[in-house]
Amino acid sequence: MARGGQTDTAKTNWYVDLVMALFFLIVLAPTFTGLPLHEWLGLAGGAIIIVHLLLHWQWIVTTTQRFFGQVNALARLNYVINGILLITLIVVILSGLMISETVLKFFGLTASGGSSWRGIHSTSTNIILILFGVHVAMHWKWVTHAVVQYVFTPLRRPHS
Amino acid sequence: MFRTIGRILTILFVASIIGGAIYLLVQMLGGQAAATTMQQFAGQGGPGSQGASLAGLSQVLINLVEAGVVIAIVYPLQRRWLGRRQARAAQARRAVSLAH
Repeated sequence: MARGGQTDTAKTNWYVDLVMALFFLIVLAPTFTGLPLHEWLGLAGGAIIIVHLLLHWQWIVTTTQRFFGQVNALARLNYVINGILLITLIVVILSGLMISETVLKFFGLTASGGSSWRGIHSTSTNIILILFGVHVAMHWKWVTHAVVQYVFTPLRRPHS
Repeated sequence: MFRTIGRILTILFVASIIGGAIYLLVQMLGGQAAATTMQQFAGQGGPGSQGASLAGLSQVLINLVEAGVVIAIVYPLQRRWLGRRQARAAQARRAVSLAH
């Protein structure tokens, strides 16, 4: 029973992470989506990040509590990288809102804009892509395992 | 170690060739160079044009390649770091058991 529950959680994590990865690759290409869709998707990205954080909430709480105590070095390194990634994501979303031309107008708000915000948005976006790669690399074993388990194994299984 | 460095260099080489080819293709078709900067919004052709959509697609691919290169560099480094830590821990355990 518990094992089934764990599998379900892992499967949910896998689907959410897959959607999030594809989502990021598309959001980070504004010429592909066009500016209005880029802004809306960027905002929706914030919601997916919250879902991702909630799915890993237990890990966050446990590692925070044990950060200076008994926790292995890999978890500590992961925690630091994830923390930097989260801060950069918040900077990307906030700076994006500050230069927004569609989303804020929709809500009847006006952004301060400015080239400095554009610079911050552009720099943090470039950093995000690198941190995203590092984040995935740190979980690469899990990613490959999940691909085999949830993609290749069901494909190989004969239909009954 | 040299094999890992070789693999990383090969991946970098292939990734840069793919990136360069996409860039050239986009340039040839009149689209704008794909880079994650805000300047790209002032692109030729405008949104919806063939050049712009191709530039957009190439930007997605370049993002994918860039993330892939980072993964290809970080993952072996992480494995090596973990392996070295495990070896050190095993050595410490052996030393303790020999001392007793």
